[in-house]
Amino acid sequence: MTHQEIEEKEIIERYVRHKLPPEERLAFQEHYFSCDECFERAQMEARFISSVRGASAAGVLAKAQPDAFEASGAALWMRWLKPAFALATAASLVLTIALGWLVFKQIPGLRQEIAREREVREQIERENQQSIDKAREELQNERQQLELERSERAKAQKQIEELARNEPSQTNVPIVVLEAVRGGGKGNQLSLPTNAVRALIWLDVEPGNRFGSYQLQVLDSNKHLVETIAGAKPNSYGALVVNVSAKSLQSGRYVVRLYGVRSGQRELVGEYDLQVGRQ
Amino acid sequence: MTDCPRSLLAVESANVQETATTSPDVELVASIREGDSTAETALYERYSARVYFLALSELHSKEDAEDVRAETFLRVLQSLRQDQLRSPGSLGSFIVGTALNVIREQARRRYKTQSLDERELNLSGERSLESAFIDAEAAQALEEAARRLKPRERAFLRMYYYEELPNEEIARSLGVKEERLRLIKSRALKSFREMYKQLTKG
Repeated sequence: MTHQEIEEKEIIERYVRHKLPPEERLAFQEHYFSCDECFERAQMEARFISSVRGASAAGVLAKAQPDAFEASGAALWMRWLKPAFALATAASLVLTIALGWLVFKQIPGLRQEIAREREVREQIERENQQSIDKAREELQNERQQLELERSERAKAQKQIEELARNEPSQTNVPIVVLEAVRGGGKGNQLSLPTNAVRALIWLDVEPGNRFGSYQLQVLDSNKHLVETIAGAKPNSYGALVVNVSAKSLQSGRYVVRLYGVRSGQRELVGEYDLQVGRQ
Repeated sequence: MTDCPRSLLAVESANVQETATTSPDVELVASIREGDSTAETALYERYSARVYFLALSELHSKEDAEDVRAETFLRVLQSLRQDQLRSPGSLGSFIVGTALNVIREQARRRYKTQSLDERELNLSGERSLESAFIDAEAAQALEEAARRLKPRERAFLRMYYYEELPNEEIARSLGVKEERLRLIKSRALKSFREMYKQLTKG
């Protein structure tokens, strides 16, 4: 009989409780006669079991009632505590999960959404600012252009006034009525006397108000611009009558181009040949 | 007496060696055979508690156990003096065998002398005879140990040792797993042992 066997089979307890078969009982008796430890344990176990039986018989170890454990003070306390603890635990668990859900799932999502919205808003603001800057720049350019035009107009007006003051009055101003010429005709002829200062060019334009104004360009035979007259508007006869400087016209062949102007854009309306002759 | 050998085989093996190198039992047997009275006293001191415990375990009576102890040592010493022990290394087994013989004779004699009423009383009160092991310290130690236990554990002690219910039924009744019962038992015994030692030391 080994100590391991004694432990595993609970030999000591079974010996004291008379639960061992005769052979094992004898074997254990012989064993504890030569083993101090097992003898001491057997004595202690015998005292313990006898004491438990004695106490049970005397009622010190009371018989267990079905609800004996729960009826004790601790059990009553636990009866109240257990549901409360369970409730608190469940609530804590729910809160923890909710908090975790907020911290790890919702808040990052909301932050991302806010960042996206902020980015979009900043982009829109940037674009708006760019549009405003661009509009300001365009406005500034237009102002400058306007100023320039005003300045040029004032300058031209001054020159006209100057010319008007300097130019002598003229009678029998030469005039040419420009007509579109097809084929090889005689064409439009303008005879300029040697003392002619100015000449008039008459052009019939299309009826209606398709163009706000007209522009007239006079080009020589080499297509060099000789003179430009802008801002011309038809008279009551539906014709344009423009005044050109006779000095800039020498004997020779010219081309007159008529442009219609609308919304700042010009459109070629007609092109006329002009034969100038000096007398 | 020294530490316990790990197995009977080991015991026998040790006995063979001890015989060769003169173990305490062999020396004791030799001294008694030579008429050394101090060796007889030493023999008594070494084995008397064991014989008493053995007798008490079997007969559950302190008086009978005392008688068995006295008679057993008388016979053992007589045998040793007359050199009737063949193997001095197995002195322990020899004493056990002698004690059991004496116990059987004691039981037979008591059975013959007891009246029918006394026999019935003994049969019905067999469990109470185990109070032979209880002393004042043991009772107090149990009280202290029980105080440390939970109500469920105290109930277990009663159901297991006194009512002797099966483990399965106890476990079901207490609402614990069967494996836990052994743990409760071990804790209770440990606590009892500590208390008892503390009390007997003082």
